[in-house]
Amino acid sequence: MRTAFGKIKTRLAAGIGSTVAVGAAAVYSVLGAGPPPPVAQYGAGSAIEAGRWRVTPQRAWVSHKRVYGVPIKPGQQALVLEADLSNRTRTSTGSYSNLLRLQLAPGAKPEDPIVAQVRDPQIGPLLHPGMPERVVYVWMMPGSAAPPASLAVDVVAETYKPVDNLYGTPGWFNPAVIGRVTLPLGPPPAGAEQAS
Amino acid sequence: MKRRLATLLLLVAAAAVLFAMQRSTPRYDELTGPLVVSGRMGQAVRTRLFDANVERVEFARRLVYQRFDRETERTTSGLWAIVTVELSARSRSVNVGQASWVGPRGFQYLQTDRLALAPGQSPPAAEPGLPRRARYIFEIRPDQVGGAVLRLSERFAPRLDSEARIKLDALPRKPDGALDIMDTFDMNPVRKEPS
Repeated sequence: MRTAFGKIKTRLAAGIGSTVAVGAAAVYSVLGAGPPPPVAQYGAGSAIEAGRWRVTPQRAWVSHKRVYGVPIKPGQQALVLEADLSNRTRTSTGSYSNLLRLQLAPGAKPEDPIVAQVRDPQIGPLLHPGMPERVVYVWMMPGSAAPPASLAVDVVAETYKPVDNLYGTPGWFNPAVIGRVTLPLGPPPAGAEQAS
Repeated sequence: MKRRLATLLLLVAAAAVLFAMQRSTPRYDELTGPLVVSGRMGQAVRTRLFDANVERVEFARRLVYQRFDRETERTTSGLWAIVTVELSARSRSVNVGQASWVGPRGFQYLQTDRLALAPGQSPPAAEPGLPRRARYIFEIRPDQVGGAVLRLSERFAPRLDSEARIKLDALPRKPDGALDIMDTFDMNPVRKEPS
């Protein structure tokens, strides 16, 4: 009698457990299927806290010539975005190429940008903690493509984890889009473009 | 009643011990981290692979050097810190390629990478029995000057290998005690005038 009652109890408990599990999965899938929440919109001059960087986009233009030391092949053009970058972490780093993601027409594959420092032009410099520097992001495009009316980029931020699961070291993980910057394409600033 | 209380106390004590053990377990990163060798300026700091002796620290607002016979200038929003170190290898040739300037609040400034093709900026290879001077250059914030530590090792984030941590305590001072900052630091080797 006692065993039979125990059996019933066990079955009942297992049934409740799986019902709760199925219900939770259903709730999560319903919540996840909705439209993604709208991202924040930014314009020129707004300081954006994006994980390990603070980025302030300044202006954008289309370049056909060498721009801040970044060579542009004949038959190509480049979308250039100028921004101030400040390293918010405690150590020097150069991992900023995934910070801004170019938004092109659907189907077009965005390439990784080349990042160059404006002061004493140099490609891909280390940026040091608490020392903001002005940089340009350069995306190459075929020269035949019509440039868009304005430049839209997604700002991708990572989150800090004091202890990662493998080595127990602090690090930056889980990139996520936190906002979108839209800048009109204007004329290049003086001194940005060099011949050759 | 008394027995139950004792059991409860034992449980609480066990939980506390387990919590303390969980919190104090060294991480893999700490267990295999660098073996620190500390020292100060003007004395030889002996690590497993090399001896390092920081001779002097200089500060400048601007660096100049010749590149392809063209005068090149490097400016900064902060300060250039130039650290001159005497290196000698112990038992085999070693490249003391990793240097960082750690400020008083723990900010870590890696060696600058903006001095491409500058004189004396090739990786500092040291040979046993042949001491040589190496120059490490950092771009730092002016408030990271006092109480800083220079870290030297063969590679980035050494694992189970020694890392020299040298206190930078003898900074250049003007007679009135202010920090001596040069306007321009010339990185070119001193050229002998042809006679």
